[in-house]
Amino acid sequence: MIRQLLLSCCILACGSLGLAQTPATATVTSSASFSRDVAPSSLVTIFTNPSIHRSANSTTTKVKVKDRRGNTHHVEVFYSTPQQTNIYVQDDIATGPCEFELSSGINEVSRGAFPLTWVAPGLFAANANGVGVPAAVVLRVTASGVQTYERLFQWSVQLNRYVPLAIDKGAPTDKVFLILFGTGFRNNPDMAEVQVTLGEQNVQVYYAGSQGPAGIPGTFLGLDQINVLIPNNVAPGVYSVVAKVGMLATNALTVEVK
Amino acid sequence: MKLRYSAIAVFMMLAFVTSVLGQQKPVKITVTMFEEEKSGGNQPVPQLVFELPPYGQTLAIRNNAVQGIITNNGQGYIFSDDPANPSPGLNEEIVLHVSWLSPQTFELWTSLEKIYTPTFADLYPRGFGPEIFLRVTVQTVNGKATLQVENRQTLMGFLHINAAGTTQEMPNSYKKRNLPGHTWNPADAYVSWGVQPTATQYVGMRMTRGTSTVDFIKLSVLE
Repeated sequence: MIRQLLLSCCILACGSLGLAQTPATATVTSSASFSRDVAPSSLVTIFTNPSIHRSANSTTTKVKVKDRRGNTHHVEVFYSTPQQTNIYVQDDIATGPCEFELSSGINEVSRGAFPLTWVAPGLFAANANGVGVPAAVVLRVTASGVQTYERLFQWSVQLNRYVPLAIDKGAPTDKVFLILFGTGFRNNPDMAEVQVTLGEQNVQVYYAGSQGPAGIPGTFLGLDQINVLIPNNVAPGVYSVVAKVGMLATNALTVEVK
Repeated sequence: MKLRYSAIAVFMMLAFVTSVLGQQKPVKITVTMFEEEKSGGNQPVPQLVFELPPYGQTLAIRNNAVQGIITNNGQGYIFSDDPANPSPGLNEEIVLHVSWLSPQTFELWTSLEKIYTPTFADLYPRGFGPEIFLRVTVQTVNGKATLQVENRQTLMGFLHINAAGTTQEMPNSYKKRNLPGHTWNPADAYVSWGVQPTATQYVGMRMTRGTSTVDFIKLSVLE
């Protein structure tokens, strides 16, 4: 089940990002937060002018990144349409000012620049727009050690988008973990640097890093993960969730607690 | 016809007023990559002071533009390659980069990795490699420009100041650039990040030992 949820989160977050915004010129953003800051080993979205990149597709679109050392890297393209291209910025690209070139055919070229910083945290949202309910799952561990994964969003036919599904704290002996997915923070060297707030309350962070070991089935390229414990004393309500890695905060998402 | 001429007149007046109001005195900002302490106050190294370009232009300083510069007191702060770990293509490497996001906001990125101090290593570490990334908004109030600086990243080669302000060593992977036998002693000196002595100045990194200070990446609004 966790594999299916992860897959759906990743597809939701990475596969339909273009619905959120369509800039006129090529712009590089984090695939999760849509902020300008991007990091090595992270998922990145380039928004392009659809009238220029008419024949863009995942097979033919090529993206080159030139780092501040003058080295040119061909990055992996895993999704491309005339409006947007999703890439993986690998870890051998030097941090600092970078230039990129996106080509999708004859006379279909866009160029731009972006700063690559070591850490640029962002969290994926279920609606792939960087806000609202997170593309996350809830892990419940009962006193007897039974683990179950639960959803925290559901599709609203009326609203035509995902809406929060309230998290059930369950029995007092249950441990309920919120597992958030994002990108751009695996290079953080120190777990003590990671803080997550639920509303105004700091919650305990159990893990923040890569979603899985590289090359292992079930591990998604560039996907990072944060596991936090939802305290038993959280009152029912709607809360903003923000992770902070060092001095850098992620986009704010929203969860509901029963 | 009369209406048309009136519309033209109004348009011309608006254009005139806009052009007059829009003529603001251009803000002159410099970035000093390195400023050493001397008696009577800190003194910038002239070759390491750069004026920010106007909006729409980019400042990119490559290693070959600053390599070999030695400060006035001859202590030998040099932008160069690390002899223990030479890098191919080093001279073309960008060490300072400034680009404008809007007429009021610019981003500054720098790598001070290639500074080391052969004859002054008791005060400053060799082979240290901080990267600093700032997002700066220039606000003009009553004709005076001030700097609002957002520190987006500070990374050092083997030292790191965490969110609580505590100095801590980085994992081994961060230490590969260091020369053997040279370590930075936090008890002996310290590093301050993001020092803003006035609204028109900002220091990316200040190293202090006793009463001595050295500033790296100092932004200054020139009146």
